Amino acid sequence: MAEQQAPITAPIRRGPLDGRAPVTADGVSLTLPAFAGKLVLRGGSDDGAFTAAAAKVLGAGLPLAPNTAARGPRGLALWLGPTEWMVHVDADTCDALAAELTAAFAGLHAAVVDVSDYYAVMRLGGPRARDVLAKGCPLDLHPDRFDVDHCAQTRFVASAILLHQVDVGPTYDIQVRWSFADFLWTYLADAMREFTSR
Amino acid sequence: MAQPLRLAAGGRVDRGRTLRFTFDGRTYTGHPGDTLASALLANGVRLLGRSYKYHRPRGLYSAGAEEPSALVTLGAGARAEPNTRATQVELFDGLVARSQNAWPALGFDVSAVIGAFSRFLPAGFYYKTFMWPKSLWMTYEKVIRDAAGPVHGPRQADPDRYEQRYAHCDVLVVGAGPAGLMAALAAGRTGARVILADDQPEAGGGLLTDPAGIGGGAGLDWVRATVAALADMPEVTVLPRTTVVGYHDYNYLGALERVTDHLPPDAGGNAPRQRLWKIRAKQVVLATGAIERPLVFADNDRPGVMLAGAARTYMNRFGVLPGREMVVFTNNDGAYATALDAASHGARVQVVDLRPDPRGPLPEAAREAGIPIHAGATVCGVAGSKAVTGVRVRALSDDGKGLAGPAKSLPCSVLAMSGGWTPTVHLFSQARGKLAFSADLGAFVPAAGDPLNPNRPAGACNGSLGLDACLREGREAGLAAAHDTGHVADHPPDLPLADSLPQEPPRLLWTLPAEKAGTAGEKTQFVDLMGDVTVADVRLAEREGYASVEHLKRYTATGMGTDQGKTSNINAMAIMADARGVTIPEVGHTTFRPNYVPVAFGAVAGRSVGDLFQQARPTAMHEWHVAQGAVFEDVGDWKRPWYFPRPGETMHDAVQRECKAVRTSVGIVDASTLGKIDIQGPDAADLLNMVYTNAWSKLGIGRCRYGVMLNEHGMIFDDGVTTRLGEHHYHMTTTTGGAARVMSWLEEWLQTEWPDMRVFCTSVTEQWAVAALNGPRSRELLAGLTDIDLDPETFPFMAMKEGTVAGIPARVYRISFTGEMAYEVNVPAGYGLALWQALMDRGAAFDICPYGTETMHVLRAEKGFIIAGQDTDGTVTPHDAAMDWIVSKKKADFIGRRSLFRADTMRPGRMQLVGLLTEDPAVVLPEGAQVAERAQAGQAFAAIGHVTSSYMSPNVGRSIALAMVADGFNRTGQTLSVPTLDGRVHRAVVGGTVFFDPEGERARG
Repeated sequence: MAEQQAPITAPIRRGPLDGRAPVTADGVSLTLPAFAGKLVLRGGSDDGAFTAAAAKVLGAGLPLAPNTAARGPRGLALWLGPTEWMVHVDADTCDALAAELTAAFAGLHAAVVDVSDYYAVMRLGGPRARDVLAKGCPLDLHPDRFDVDHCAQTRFVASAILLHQVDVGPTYDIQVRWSFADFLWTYLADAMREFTSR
Repeated sequence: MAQPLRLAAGGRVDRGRTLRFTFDGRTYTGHPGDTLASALLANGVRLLGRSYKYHRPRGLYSAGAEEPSALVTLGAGARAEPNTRATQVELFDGLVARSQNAWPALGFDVSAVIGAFSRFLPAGFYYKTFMWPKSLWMTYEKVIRDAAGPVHGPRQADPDRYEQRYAHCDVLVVGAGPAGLMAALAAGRTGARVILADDQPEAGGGLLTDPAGIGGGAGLDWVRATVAALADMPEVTVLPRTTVVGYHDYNYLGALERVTDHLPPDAGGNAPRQRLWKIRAKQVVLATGAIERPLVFADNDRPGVMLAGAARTYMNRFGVLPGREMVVFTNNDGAYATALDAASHGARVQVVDLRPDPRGPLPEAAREAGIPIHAGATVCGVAGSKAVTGVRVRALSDDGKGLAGPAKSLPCSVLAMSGGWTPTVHLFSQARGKLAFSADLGAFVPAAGDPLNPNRPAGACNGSLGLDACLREGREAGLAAAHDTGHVADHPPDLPLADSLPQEPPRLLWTLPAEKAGTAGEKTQFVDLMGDVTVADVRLAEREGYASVEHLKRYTATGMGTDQGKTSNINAMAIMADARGVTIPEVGHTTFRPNYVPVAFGAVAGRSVGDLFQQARPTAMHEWHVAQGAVFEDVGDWKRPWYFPRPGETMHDAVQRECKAVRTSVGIVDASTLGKIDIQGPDAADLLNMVYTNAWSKLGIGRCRYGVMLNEHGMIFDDGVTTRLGEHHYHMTTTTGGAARVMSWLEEWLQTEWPDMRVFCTSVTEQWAVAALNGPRSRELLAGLTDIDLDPETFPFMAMKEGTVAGIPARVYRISFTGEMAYEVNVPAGYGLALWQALMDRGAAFDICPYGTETMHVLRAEKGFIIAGQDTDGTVTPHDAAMDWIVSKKKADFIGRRSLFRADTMRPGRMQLVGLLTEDPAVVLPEGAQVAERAQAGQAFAAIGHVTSSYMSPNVGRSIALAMVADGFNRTGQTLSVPTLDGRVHRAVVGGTVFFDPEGERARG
């Protein structure tokens, strides 16, 4: 028995929120977007060779203005710091993109780190999304201050999050560590309860 | 007759609807718009409670947040809320309230006899009377507390929901009276983001009491139009029923919104009961108004004695006549408005004025209305104990300190008094604003704000009591505040004309002469009703040396009640000033502290209660552990399997079995929680050389090395294995609890000390799920699932290879925390459960044993591997931990190196880590037990160390322990004593820290 090679079926890749039914309330909903590959890119904003190499592979320049996001043909790049970006890409193309970026960064002081499984992303959208976020996020999310394709590393109550405004709905994508995902989802769903008529 | 004191018309109540409520079990009626206080008053209920110390009958004193007297317990069962101010409770149908501090009944209270013995309970009585003998203090305290009456918070969980919310604005306006409304309108017109918060259900402030006209129309019409204009401004948020309770630095303010308190329980749907707003305001306008001061005279706490402005509020806002016979007792013109209004409602009114010749427009109007005025006189006694039936009035001597002439008795059911107005400077003072004493007002007023907290007091809060001044200052403050946030109005609102009558100055007499001379009279003159503090108490405090304002507060409890002395502080300071023969500003004022009114703990906690109190971080394999019945241990925020009991097993049984299984076959442990940091860059090895004590330059690619990190003091603070993945690429692991600390540590050094180092550190802790196989058959098991060549020649101990395991891309590290042959399989977390399941399925043939943290700890202790934070405590160097080998002698520098070679850290005889073997092998020493050279049961001993780790080891076949012992290395072979809390003394022999496989052959196999 032991000597026999066990039949290997394709292993299942899961996220911490798999199978969650969307939560809806009046004017706001909490949903699970498709699993995205996630790469952290490291390099200097002031390193022209690095930014050029990244732009060439990504098909669009990295956002250099603090707390902004930029969408390109290969994915979405979110500014995390002067030397750090989070890139969300189609999960199927993540490995290939990581390899291309790594190759393009050869000889540069730069890094590509795959963190696809480190984080989960949940999506909060609707006219009341701002009211729900205000219950735990200390940032000013007024559209004059935080608009489409703004992003910020902040918190919702006790969970560290990466917040990205997707559209004027407003819709927000909220990235959180795997181990905090259930807690955050539960907290957000609870925060939406005020807006349910039942 | 229902509501005998309700006026036929007028006020803001809806007489078309009737609400029923109960007070002390009796049913009464009121109307929407009433407070509990106004409804009780309308029903002629005067006696509302007993004071906490003397159990004196008490009634309604005010109409607002300052209420020191009408405290009730609201609701019942889990929702019971004691010490609620009846003046702040909006009436709803079915409201239930009870009086406090009375037993067996409000009308007949046994403890009220204490009032007759009040000489035993003077100021400071706690400290004096009951401190001896000390052993009885606990008993005394309990008796005193119980005597105070049944005021208890509920013991059940609070069934209500409380929320919190952050908000940001350019201008926060506190108070929606004339000044606040004008400020919000002016700021709103500029397009600035404005929040207007007011503690009442409707805007208007003093205009709800005073029917003064604005702009040629009724004041309330102006209020209505202004509120409508604000509602049309998209950037203006109006928060009624919201009390700004705290003003913190950098213009961070807390505000408590009573969202559904005005509704019957469970009628609020999914809205919370209360919501705590956390507001960041660029600018603040404080339009908080003013609070009327009581006069201090004999028996001034009797039910029916109330503030004159409150009496007017009950008439004009609530349509309730406080009494058909009213005496207005004043030192100023303003209270005459109360007299005039009461007279217009048919009450028989007389005025007692401390001033010998009041001549302002209001007194003249009173004279014209035929209201008798007793000028230059004072109230010197109150008749009636549970309700006022009349007052005694006598002329004042010219200096105001004595009585002259015969006493007159004036019958009345209400005594409405006014000692002038005190600006509500609480928030201004909380914001570090400096106050100055205004001799005109007899009160402290804002003098200079602190630029840390930009704000503008306006209107009565600023000491400007006239309606015209309130509107003008509000407008100016609103425009200036908006301007300072970059907003200018194209069309600022005009300043409306307002009815304002000139007023003559008040006559400030802080204590009024009593008929009984000296202390006997002063004991009936109440300064602080909530704390039962009298003039006699304040003077006693001065005589006993508690003369500073801070001592006065603490010794007499003035201002220490839940009302924070809103009506009493100034009077107490003035009386102290008189006692000391100094001015009031020389006495000074106590610090105003948040919160302005009491805030329920529920609101402070918000939704972070129950399951939402704190996150429990699961690993990717968590649900498997749960399904297998694991018992979990909290490690930081993480839930880690502690042990996996089989049916019928105790923890001891399970751990002993798991420990055996690992060393005989193979065990598997979820090591996902270890901190992991991806380190890349040409200077990565330099960074490692600086943060670890050992050398890293020569580590080959694909090789792993254990390292210890020291802090600047040379003390161990974390450890772990780091692997070289590529030329300039490393994978660091940290302890579970140290993950965030180490990441911050690396960033701190890189950003502050070594900015030229070209290294990027990126946390990857949860990217990887880790299943660690440990045991002699781990290679055999893994071989069937991986494409990696496990030949020990090419994949030796302390090496890493990449490949697939169970079809999953994996990094496999041959590192061991048990001393056994071990493979730590790392896969992307999404595959963690699949990996674990595959290893378990495959491992069935090897009797694979899942084990938890307890077994992990036993196995590492058998090998003498330390746990940073358990065997070390921030005072342990690597040398102390018997780990000299980890410290490079060649490296020029590393963090902590200098400290490591200080005289004290090199000193012989330091606390050192040793092994301890008890003489009785069955005895497992308690961790934390003290170690002595020689101790005897029941005798004192000198501790020379303590046990840090201790277990029953099935593999060694006896108990084992690690201990930090002074000069431990030189004590090898010595027998030491370990006294335990059960009174026994155990003997244990000092030895090395490695108890199992000292040659370390098993891990290398």
